[in-house]
Amino acid sequence: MSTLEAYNMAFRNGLELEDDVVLEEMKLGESTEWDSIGHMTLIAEIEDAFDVYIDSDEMTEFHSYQSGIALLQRLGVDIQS
Amino acid sequence: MTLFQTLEQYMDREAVYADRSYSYREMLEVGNSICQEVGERSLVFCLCANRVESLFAYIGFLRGRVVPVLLDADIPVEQLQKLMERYQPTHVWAPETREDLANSLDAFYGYGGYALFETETSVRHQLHEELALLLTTSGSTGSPKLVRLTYKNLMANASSIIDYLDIDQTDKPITTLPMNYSYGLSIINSHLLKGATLILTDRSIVQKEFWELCRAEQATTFGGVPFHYEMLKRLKFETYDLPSLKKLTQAGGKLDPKLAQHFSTVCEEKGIQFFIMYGQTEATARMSYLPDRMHAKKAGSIGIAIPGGTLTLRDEAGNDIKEANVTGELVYQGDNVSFGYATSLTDLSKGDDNHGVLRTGDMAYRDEDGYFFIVGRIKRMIKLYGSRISLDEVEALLREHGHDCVCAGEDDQLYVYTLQDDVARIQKIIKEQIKVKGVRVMQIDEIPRNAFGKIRYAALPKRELVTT
Repeated sequence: MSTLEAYNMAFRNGLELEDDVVLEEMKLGESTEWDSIGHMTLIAEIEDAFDVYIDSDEMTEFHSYQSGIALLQRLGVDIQS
Repeated sequence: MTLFQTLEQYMDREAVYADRSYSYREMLEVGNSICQEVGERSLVFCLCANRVESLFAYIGFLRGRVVPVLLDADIPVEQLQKLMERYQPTHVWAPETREDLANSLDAFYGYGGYALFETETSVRHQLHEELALLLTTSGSTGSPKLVRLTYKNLMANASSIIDYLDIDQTDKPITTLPMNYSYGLSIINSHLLKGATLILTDRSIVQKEFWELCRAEQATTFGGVPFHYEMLKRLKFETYDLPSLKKLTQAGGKLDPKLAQHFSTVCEEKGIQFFIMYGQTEATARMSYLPDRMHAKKAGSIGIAIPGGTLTLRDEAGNDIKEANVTGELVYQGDNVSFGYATSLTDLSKGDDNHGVLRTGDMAYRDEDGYFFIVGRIKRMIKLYGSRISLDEVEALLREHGHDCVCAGEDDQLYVYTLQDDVARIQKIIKEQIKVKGVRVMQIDEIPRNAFGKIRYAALPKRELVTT
């Protein structure tokens, strides 16, 4: 599985998304599935998938599909298909 | 007597900060004009978000003796429809973007992003003269059961909360809970009655903007259900520098003892008061509180009755338990105990069913010092992220959609068991209709039952058995 596939899967599992949801459009607090409860599950999924630790500042700055990729990049994970 | 009649004394003070500052004068004027469009002793649905539109309307309705049913602004279409059919509100105050309403109803009045939809119902409501407000019991399962609250209930509970939390006009709560949820509403009521300023936001504590607002507007207090405290721990709240913060409250379910310990220590170090509280919508909101600095001595306790209320314990025969450390059903008595439930239109004219006494359904004991400790529940109820869910209601909802399931669980964990190959469909219904997360749906081979055919809930698996 590529890192992009793993990232997408963490998103679908963490936020319990249907297959037809467009991940690139997901925004914390705006997408109904991505509320604070979903956020915590998503963080845990991503940490497990990439064996990283997301600290509290990073957690509050992670608010979109894209910003998650940028965050993982900073943590040394290159998201590629 | 109605609620909020005394707010005129605060006219030029700041009532709300939400993107900009709103005075009490502006809040009352807007509230009055919405209310005048509706007319006294009508029943309306007020779809709530932490926005000035729903807050101002709520204040106006209460002052003008209009009776609102407070619902979540995102209530699923089907559930709203069901409630409207049952209670026949004359108006629905809702975001104008709600297509289900905008496509079928006319609206001639609006404020901000909200519109006052007219239903043109032919029903003339016979509302009991003391009835002030209706709240849903669990909010999630779409159960049409409402709690009937009176002006006296709201006043009594708000006054009591003001008393034990020592609220004054320098307090500045920031919203973390929905206003249609009794705990969230109790924070609003108790602070407005003292002329304080509310910071209204739909942002949650996992968002940077929430903390920026908290800092910029110098919030002094907020409340949280256990899940909020789990998040705060994960966010390393102890490292946050928020000098304005003076008071934290917790309710909506039992806080994990380790978390309680953690936050009592963190708060003490930071000079923040920390209150663990207990209550139910049936008692307006609050029934007991654990005073700040009692955490170490009385860990795990829900504390003592709020001012004006009494807590007692009853054994199975219905007798009061006098001795310490004996478990019985927790019974609360006070002016904040609701009139009772409504399940139909005609119930709205009914008087006081409870007579100030509420059987909580919680099992508890009292220690030698008079502090109460909850040990379990009589009813099949769990709390999911602060919201009460009846397992029987979830089963009924799924049955309505054609799925025969058994539900079990504990706080923040709901398990649904099915014998059919319909896990995905059940998950979809739960997501759309109950809107809760972290529900585990499992297909099992057999429902474990005892010799009398009763389900042995404890024997149900907690994890799916992996078969290959």
